Amino acid sequence: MFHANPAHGFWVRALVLLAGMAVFQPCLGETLQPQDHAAPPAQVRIALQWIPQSQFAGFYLAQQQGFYAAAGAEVTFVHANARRSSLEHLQDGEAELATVFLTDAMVAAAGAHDSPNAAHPVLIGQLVQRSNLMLLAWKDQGIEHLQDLSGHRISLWTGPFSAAIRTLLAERQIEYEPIPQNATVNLFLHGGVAACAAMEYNEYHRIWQAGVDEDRLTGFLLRDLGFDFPEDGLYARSDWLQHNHALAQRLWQATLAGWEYARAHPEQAVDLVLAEAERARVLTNRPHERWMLEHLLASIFPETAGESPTAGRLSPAAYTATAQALIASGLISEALPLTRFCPDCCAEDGPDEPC
Amino acid sequence: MNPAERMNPADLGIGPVPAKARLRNRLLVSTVGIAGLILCGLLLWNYLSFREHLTEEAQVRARFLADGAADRIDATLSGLQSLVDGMALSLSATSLDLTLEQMRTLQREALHQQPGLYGTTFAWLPERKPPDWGALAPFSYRDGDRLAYHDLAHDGLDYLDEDWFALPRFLGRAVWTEPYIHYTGKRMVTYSVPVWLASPDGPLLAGVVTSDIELDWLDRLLADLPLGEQGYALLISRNGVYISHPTDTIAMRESVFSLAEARGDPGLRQVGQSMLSGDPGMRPWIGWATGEKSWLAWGRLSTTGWTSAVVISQTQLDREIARLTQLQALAGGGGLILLFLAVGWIARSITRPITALSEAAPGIAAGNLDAPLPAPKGQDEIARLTTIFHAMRDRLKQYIADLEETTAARERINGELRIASDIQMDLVPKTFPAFPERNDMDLCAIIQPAREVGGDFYDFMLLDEEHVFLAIADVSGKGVPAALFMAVARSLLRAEAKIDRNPGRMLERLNDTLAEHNDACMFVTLFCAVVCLSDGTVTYANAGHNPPLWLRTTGSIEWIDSPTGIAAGPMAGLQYDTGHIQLAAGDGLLLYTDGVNEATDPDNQLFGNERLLERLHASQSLSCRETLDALLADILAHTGEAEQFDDITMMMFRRLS
Repeated sequence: MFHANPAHGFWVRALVLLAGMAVFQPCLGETLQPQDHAAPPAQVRIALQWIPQSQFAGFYLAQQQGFYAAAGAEVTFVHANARRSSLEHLQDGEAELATVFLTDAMVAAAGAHDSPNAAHPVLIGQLVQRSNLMLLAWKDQGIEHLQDLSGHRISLWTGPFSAAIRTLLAERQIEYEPIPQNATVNLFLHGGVAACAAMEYNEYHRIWQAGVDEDRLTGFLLRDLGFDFPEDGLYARSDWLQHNHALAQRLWQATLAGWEYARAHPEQAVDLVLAEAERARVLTNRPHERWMLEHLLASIFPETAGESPTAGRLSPAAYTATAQALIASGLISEALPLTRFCPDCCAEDGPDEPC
Repeated sequence: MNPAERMNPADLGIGPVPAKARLRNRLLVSTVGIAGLILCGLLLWNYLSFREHLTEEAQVRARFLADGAADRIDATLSGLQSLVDGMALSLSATSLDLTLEQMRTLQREALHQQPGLYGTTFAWLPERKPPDWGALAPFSYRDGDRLAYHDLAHDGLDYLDEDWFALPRFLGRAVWTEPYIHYTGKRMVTYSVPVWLASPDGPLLAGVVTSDIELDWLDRLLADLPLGEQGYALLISRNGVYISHPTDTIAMRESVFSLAEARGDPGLRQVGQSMLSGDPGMRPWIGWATGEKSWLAWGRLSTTGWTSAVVISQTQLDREIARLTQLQALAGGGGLILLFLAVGWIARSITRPITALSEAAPGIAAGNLDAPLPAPKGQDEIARLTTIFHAMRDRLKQYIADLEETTAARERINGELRIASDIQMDLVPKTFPAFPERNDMDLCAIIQPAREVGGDFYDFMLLDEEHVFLAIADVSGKGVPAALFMAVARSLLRAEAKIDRNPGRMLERLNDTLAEHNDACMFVTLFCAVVCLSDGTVTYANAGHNPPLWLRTTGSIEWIDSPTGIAAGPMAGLQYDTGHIQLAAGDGLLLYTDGVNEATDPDNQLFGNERLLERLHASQSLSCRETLDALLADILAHTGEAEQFDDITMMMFRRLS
């Protein structure tokens, strides 16, 4: 359980901003400067991957607390849905920035591999440092170990989202019947599949909130099985970024500050998320959003991160591992070099191979 | 009785009756107290039995209403379910051999037939769609009062990912989806049935036929259930999500399990799991909003697999029971007050004469017989007692009046007796020395009369110069008869003594005279003697009297006890012998009545002859008067405070030289 003293909010915010500047300053070659108050704020749309939920608490807080305004931007959010992803919003120019799952972004960016001038998503900052992906299986269908999944139906999200699972199952040579998984876990709850893909911070808890106790389920956390791929990151389109690099960095710092604020004020963060959800007519409840926030915060600020400069950065090693999994699952043939996928990630660490 | 003799009732130890001991108060306290206790017992019994009964009834009602709600919802949904099942069967049976227009006509017909149906669609699995169909997922629905149409695949194949398509597709059976909020803002649920086409490889899924149903009517249905003031009903989906709940912010957002999580209540989670288990059930419950003890009962909908539940407040029931009991207690209390007044009135009417009697009685007890007594009223025991009191008082008054009269009469008689006694005393010579001119004899006599007039007398007289007559007598009985008889006997004796100096013959004649007309058989004991002073010869006769004593100068004292006869008076013809003795100079005679030797002390001990003799021995040197005075003093010393019943009469004679 995450605890924070709200009284320290100001200092936390200040320290995070300073730390962020210290980390990124060498990469950027320019500093975040307070905006000229006379200049009109930039209009920036940020596409968020899904309907309002705690996954985006830091963004809502950054806006509410005026961090984006301080960064010189007037930010509006575009929520993706099942019909239109945040990546599509970004690619189609309906948003300047977007949160995107790393694998999705890598698959999208891979297309630009052979076209140096093609617009592609560029990672500005990596939020979720670890994998929350998991497979959940019914014990009463005989699933105790991964191998038990052989011959069973497994529902998986289509596209790169479930790439790590597909790679894992392929590596373990598990033959299964893939069933496309939609936004709900009802097929799993009806027993229509033996296992389903789940995010630890979302579907897993949804299933628990449907009255299914842990002892009825077998869970396989991908990060425990060698597939600890980073997840959500903040992306911009490469062509937009060329002209707005400083703005993008300031917004990224503001976003991180928003997440720090959420870490210090989790209940305020949940309140804000619930208000956003209510406005968007999204049906949710406080315990679920609290659960999601706790897990997101643990993923954004891993315990090992502490004073480590890796918070907010994509590890080149993780990028390489993810690329290998995507290639193994056939989703891409070759990953975009990290220097193009995330130019700022390489600015500091020359020795890393991908850079 | 004169008023001065009346006593204060307080002196009789009769104080006022303490309030708590009063009959009326005791009657009131006991009657009303017992009635109050019975009332309390009845109220308690009533409360407990009511509570038990109503608790059982609440449970039965909760179960009944939960099942009833499930049945009523099922009744509505099953009609729609049957419609869609029928459509799916028809489509399957006809191998979906129909055009898009025919499908739309079928859908419109279904919407016309079923007002509860919001919309219906048939969505093809894309690869099964006949080429001539212009739509993959024709959807007919209500748009206000008109019917509208839309191809759900117009924007793409996203419908394939929707639960309403994916669930029947991959489960291979009809499915009620989880309720959802439609873009119109209404709660809806979709019933989806897979449609199969026959093929050599077995049935192939062609698509899914659905019906969308609005659910807002559920709130009204559940709100109309008679659940009491604090009762409420709810409906939860297969996933435990509240479809209907009295709190708006809970419905469609929270599940039983999210609430359990929010409240940190594992028990609630278990309850939720029981409710989703498919079995009806019931358990005690604490109302979330009110914190009141309640009963939660649930039943399962056979159509959707949802759970309908009702909460009936036990606390509310208890309050109603308590209110009912309070009303009963108020009514009972009012009755008790009426009983109190009625008993008070009755007790007062009963005890008023008793009280009046008890207030008047001490006056009577204290002697105020004129104190007013209450008049008897009616014919009851109190009236009887009052009448008796009246009679008793009257009898007492009469008795006291009689007593006063009797006492007055006796006083008068006593007065007369005192006069008689005085006369009697006047009859005997009381002047001593009797013969001061003579020095040859010493004579003295004393008579100490008793309280009542007695019949003793003594007498003496000189018959001539040489002879003196001495007599002492004791008439039987007391009072006036004895006094009269004494007077007669004395007069007769005096007369006889003058006629014949022989004492024996004197007594015989006296006896004969007394015996005449002596119907009362009175008698007299009498000793008489004639002393010749010159030679000391004494002749004497004794009619049953105490033997006199002869006190000789030698110091000896002898009883003169013979001859003697019986008392004179009862019968005529008695003979009395005359005795003789010779008195020497200085010898004395003591004549006395039985009042002397039979004088009794407070212990009833007689003075006795022995003591008489001792006293006389001690008094030999004394004169007659001194001797008698000493003797009387000794007798009185002996009797002390004891009452003197008999006259003490003594006469002493001494012959001097």
